[in-house]
Parts: sequence; structure tokens; C-alpha cells
Amino acid sequence: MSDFPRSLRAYTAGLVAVVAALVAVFGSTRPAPAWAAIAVFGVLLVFSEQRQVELPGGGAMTPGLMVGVAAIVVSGETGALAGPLLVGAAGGLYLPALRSGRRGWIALNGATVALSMLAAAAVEAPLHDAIRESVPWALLAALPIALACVSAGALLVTISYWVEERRPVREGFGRLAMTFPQSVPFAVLGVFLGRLYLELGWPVAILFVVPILLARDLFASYLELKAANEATVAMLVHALEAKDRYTAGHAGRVAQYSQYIGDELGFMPWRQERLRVAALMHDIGKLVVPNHLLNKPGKLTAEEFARVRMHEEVSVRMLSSIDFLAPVAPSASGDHSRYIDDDPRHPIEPFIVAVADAYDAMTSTRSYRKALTQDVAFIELREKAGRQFHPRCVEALIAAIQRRGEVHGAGHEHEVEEFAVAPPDAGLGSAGLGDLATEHGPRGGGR
Amino acid sequence: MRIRTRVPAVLVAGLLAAVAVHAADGPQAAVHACLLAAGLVAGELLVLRLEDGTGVPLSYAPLIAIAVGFEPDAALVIVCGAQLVAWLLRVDGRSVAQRGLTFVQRLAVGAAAVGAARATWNLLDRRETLAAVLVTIGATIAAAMIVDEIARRAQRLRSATTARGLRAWSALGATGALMALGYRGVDGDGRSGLWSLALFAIPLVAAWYSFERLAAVSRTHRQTLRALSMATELAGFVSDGHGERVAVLCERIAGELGLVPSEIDDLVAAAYLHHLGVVTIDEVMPLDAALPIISGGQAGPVGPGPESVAIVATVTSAMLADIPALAAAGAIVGGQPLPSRRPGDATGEHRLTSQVLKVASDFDDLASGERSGAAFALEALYSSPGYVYDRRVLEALERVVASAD
Repeated sequence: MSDFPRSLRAYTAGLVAVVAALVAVFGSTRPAPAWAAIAVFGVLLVFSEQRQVELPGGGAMTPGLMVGVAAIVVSGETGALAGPLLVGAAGGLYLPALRSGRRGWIALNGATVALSMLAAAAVEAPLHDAIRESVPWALLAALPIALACVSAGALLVTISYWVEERRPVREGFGRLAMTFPQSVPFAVLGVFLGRLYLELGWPVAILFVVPILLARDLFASYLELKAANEATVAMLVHALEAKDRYTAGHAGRVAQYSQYIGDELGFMPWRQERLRVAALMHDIGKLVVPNHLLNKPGKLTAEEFARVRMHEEVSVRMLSSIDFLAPVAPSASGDHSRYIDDDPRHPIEPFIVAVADAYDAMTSTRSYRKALTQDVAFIELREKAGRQFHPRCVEALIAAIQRRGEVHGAGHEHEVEEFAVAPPDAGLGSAGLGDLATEHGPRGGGR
Repeated sequence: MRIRTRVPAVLVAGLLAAVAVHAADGPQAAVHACLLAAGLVAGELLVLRLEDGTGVPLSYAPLIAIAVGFEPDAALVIVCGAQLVAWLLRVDGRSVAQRGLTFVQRLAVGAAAVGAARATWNLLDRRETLAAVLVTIGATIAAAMIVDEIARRAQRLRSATTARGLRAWSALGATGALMALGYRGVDGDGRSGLWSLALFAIPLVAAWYSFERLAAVSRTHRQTLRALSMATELAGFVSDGHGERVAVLCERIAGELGLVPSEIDDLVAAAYLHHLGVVTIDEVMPLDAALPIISGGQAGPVGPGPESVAIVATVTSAMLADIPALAAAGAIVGGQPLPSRRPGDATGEHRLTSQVLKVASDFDDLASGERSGAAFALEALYSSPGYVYDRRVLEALERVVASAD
């Protein structure tokens, strides 16, 4: 119990006492539970709880509710309310916590799950006959059962939050809105698992869990591989920054500004994710540019400039080789992301990345120019909106930054490298090539 | 029409057909047949994809219910009708002949399932007990699985008895059994009826969704690794396609050596990225100048190149070590036997995988050089000192090369 808060001890002891008392009362006043069913569902619930999938946005997904609801339906046949309590108590048995001696948490979770199940069983009792007789009623009944279970759980968790740290009530009930939608399908399946168990016995419970566990395992593998891919992209950014130390943090900031614009334009989450990865990787072609050119102080020769610009073509080629990013691969090309018209057939992502890239280039100190102020960057973006930059993207970025109250640019840079040759102040080249000698080529396009 | 449109369209069509039969006072069995056939067609369009891109269709689950729940003649009519519609709807970029083969395969699986269900049920004297029904369902699943495997081999497709294939079959078998139990019940009159098919399909569809997400992210991850390996190729440090060829070769050698999937995944990542460190080093000579050159009986690496190889491997390994998900790949790159190490130094957790990477990379460099050829490359590798290349890995490479010829 070493890491178990002292403030929760009395509360947990109280909950455990209530559960024990209820089991005793129901055991003596109501019909005896079906012990075989309790054993089957108790074991299945413990097993399910060991195989939680932690979701990236917080929280966890488990088929435990399905098993619990099935146990409620089976117990409802005889009206034995001790059954759901006992099965629920088994749900607190999280083996890693047991192995590390965290018995306090196990007791708290077990009592919370048991009482949540009891609440759901109380709702199931008047609906039991309808569940048994009619499939459509069984489907409908799953909703109030799930709601009762999740609400009771949220209430008990809220109280524990308050007892432990006086955390606000809304924090605990915030879980309700998050967990209820995902609990409904599991409750529906649980109701039918219970029906089938009553009809055919224990083998169906085992059969039922197989595809669900498979789905769970595959989903966990998917999350793991997704994290590995994130890590690979992170490594790419790391490699780029190792080559070009004066643009440290650039890819991350371009991804962040791109997402600001995506937010403003109402992008769906999957599109935001694709935009983020494309923005992180927009300079991937710099991997083939020699380090001394990327870090050269002052002006580049025409030949050097051409070599540096080659990275755009290489970036497009490399991003195009990834199916997921191919539709937005021109994000990596200065030419392709230059605004021409608002053709809805062309994805807007390249224009978004171009604006984000230019804004970050202007508000960062580079070897060829010191950072500009945010106001100057906004003026420059607006001046070139409709010619070089997509007007909607420009306005979206400015609106997003202003609403967040963020200030970037001269005087507000987080990380500024020490340059061997101090960068000049001059140069308004919007995408960062600043005062490149005019005879060497066009201005514009991030380096 | 995309799958997301085709599947609901098929189900709605089946529902409309069932309503029409019901309205025309058709028999209840015909109403059920319309809905089950629609489920079968929809299941044909959703496939649990395996490692090699082939798949096992979700339709095998309702097939079990149909085989167990209907008389053989009615079951075969449903299966044939549904497969015909599925053949027309299965527009997946394959040729007509290939789709025809799939059609025949599915018919054979359907016939085997129906036949096995009937034969087992008769053998058990049609006893209406849970055990008899479960045995019948088990025999039906086994027959479907065996015929599917035979058909795969006949079409020279990869076996579905891989780890992922067996997991797919276990989900399909369990769902099929539940559907059959729910639809048919023990006494031939399941209380959940057709609802059981719809409801028990939910976990299976969740499994299918997870399979699809996993396949998509696997593809993206591999393509991301390949894109990174292209950096060293586009910069002219190594020959075009080196990373991809080494990755494929590593995968095959690892398969020959019986490495576990997680080791193979790390090895493939290491294969794609093993020269990546070169991009952080300015003005490094092309690596083909740094190969172990073996000629005229003289074995072992010569010339200034090996130092570059060692530096690149060390830098790459350090880069990858910073990223937990790629740390094992980094250890594989860093664990390669290098000229700067004394014989016997290359030991440790990743010794074998590092050996596979070293052998595959050097083989590819040697085989794609001017004095090209797999035979030359193999001979050169065999001629090296014993501590450079592990004999088991070389023999596995030889088998891979022989099977590719």
C-alpha cells in the first residue's frame, strides 16, 4: 500500500465494507447465484482487464464491460444480485498491480467496479424478461444498462478524486462523456452473450471472446507500429537538425503552424494527422544536401543555390513514395506550393505548408538574416497572398496565432544558435532566402 | 464503388430481396436465404489480410452457419448464388482468370463445409445435444480450412497457417461457431435467429478493421523507412535500390534462419537505415569504394573504405539508439562485424541479426557491382576469413539465392 494515498484509505475501506455487506445481505435474502457462471465470467473479466489497450488520447479500451453485462444478464435469470457484485469485484484484479503489491488500488478498483455492476444490474432487473423474449428489446435495453454502469463508475471515481486531492467534480464526470459512447457496443454484445449463455452454456462465452481478443491484439499492434513510425519520422527530424543546426526546431514549428491552419479550415483528424506528418517531412530532401552548404554563412553561389534547391525535388520524390503522403507530396516543393488558383481539385495542404514554412523562416534567425518581427511577417504574408501564398491559408494562420496570443519572431525566439558570422539584419525574402544575390536566381522558397 | 459503399449496398439489396419474398408470401427459409446470401457476399468483400497481401474472407463465418443450419441442397444454392454475385462485385484490379480461380476456390470451400456438416451430423445420428452440434461445427470449420489451404497451394499462394493466418482463422472459426449456434440452436431452432449473425459479426468486423489499420500502418512504416533509405541513394552514397534489396534479402535470410517476427521487423528497419548516418557526415566517399574487395585468392577487406563503413555504422547506430522504437535496429547496425574489430568481438544479443545485415548488404554490393553476379558475390563472401561472416548465415543466403533462380 506504499503508493496508496492516505486520504483514500478510509474511503476505500468504506466501499469494500459496503460491497461485503451487500454480498452478505443479497446472499441471505435472494436466490443463490449461479456459481459456475460467476466463475466463468469472473475469470473472463480478470483476463479482459489484463488486456487493456491504452489509447493515444488517454484512457483505455477493454472488453470488460461486455463480460460484466453478460454476467448481469445471466444473474438476472434468478435475480441473484450477489453475482454481479462478485464478478465486478474480480474486475479489480489487475495482475501487474497485484505483483507490485498495490493492494490499495486493487481494493478501490474492485469495489468501484462491483458497485457499478450492481447499479447496472438494478436497471437490468425490470428489463430482464424483455431481454430474454425479444431481440430488439435486448438491443434497446443495452443503452440504459451501459449508462447505469458508466454513470455509477463515474460518480464513484469523482468522489475518489475529490477525497484524494479535492479535484473538481467536472474532472470525474468528464470521463462519462468520453467512455459512454465506446461502452454501448460492448454493452450490446454483453447482453447477447448473456442471452446465448443462458441458452447454450459456457462454451459460447469462450468462443465469444476469441475474435474480440484478436481485434484487441491487432489494435494494440497497430498502435505500437504507429508509434514506431512516429519515432522514425522523429528520427528524420533529428537527422535533419543534426545536419542543419541553424534551423533547429524548424520542422516541428512548421508542423505546428500547419496544424493551426488545418484547425482553422476545419480539417478532420485524419487529415490533420497527414498534414502534420507532411509538414514534419517537408524538408526531407535536405538529407542529400552537403552540410557545409546548409550551414554556409552569407550568400550562396548560383551553383550552390541550385544544389540546395535540389532538395525540393528530392523531397517530393521521397514523400511521393509513401502512399499516405503522396497526395500532399508537393508540400515539399517551392514551385508546386506557390499559389496559382483555388482549384478544388488540388489539395490545399501544399499551400498550407508553404505558408507555415515561410512564416517560420521569416520569424527565425538564419545564417543569412536575423529574425523579422511578427508584424513584418504578417505584412509580408498578406502582401503576397493571392500571388505567392494561398489567401485563405494566410488569413487562417494569422487568425490562429492571434487568437492564441502567441508572439514569434525577433525578440521572441526560443532557441537561437551562435553563428560564426553574424547574420545580416536586412532581407525581406518571404521564405527565407533573404538577400541572396539577385543575379543568382529568384527570391523565395525556404532553404 | 469502394468497399465502404459496396458492403452496405449488398446488405440493403439482400434486405430488399428478403422483404420482397416475405411480401409475396414466400417461405421463411427463402427470406432467411436472401439475408444470409447478402451476408455471405458482404463477407467476401471484407478480407482479413495476411502478411503477403492475400486474405481470408469474413464470409467463411456465415458459411459455417449456412452449412450447419440448412439442408445441403439449400445451402449449396445459397453459396453458389452468393459467390456468383461476389465474383461480379469483386473488382480488385486482378485479371478475370484470377478472379475466376478465387470463385472456384470459394465454391470448393463452400461445398466442403456443407458436405462435412452433413456427414458429421449423420455420423452423430442427428442427436440434438450441444456436444453433437459443437462437433459438427468443428468438422465444418476444419473442412473449410483444409480445402482453403489446398486451394492456396494450388494457386501458389502463401499458406494461411502463418501466425497471422491462424489468428484470422481462429476468429473466423469462433464467430462462425457462434453464428451457427445462435442461428440453429441445439434443437434446430435458435432463439436469436438471424440476429445472431448480425450481432456476432460485430467483433469480427472490429477484427477486420484492426487488420486493415495494421496493414495500412505497416505499409506506411515500410514506405517511410524506404523513403529514408532513398536519401543515401539519391545522394549517390550507395547504388539505387540498395536499401530495398537488402531489406528483402534480410527478410528472406531471417525466414530461412527461423528468426521470430519481432527480430525480423527490427532487422528490416536496420536494413533500410543501415547507411543513414552517412547523411550527417560531410563529404563522405561513396560506399561502393569501401567494399570488402576480394580477388585473386586474397581475402578480406582492403583499401581505405572500411574505415568509412565503420564510421557510418557507428554514426547510424548512435542516431537510431536515441529513438526507443529503433534502438534494436541501431544495435543491429552497430553490431556488424567491422574490420576495426578483432575476431570474436561481434557478440551479443543482436549478433545473428547483425550478421544477416552484414551478409545481405555486402552480398548486394558485390552482386550489383561491375563484376556482378550472385555466384561471384557468394564465392567472395565464402572466401572471407571465418570471423567476418557467420557460416550459417552464408548457407541461408545460398538457399535464398538458389530459390530465387
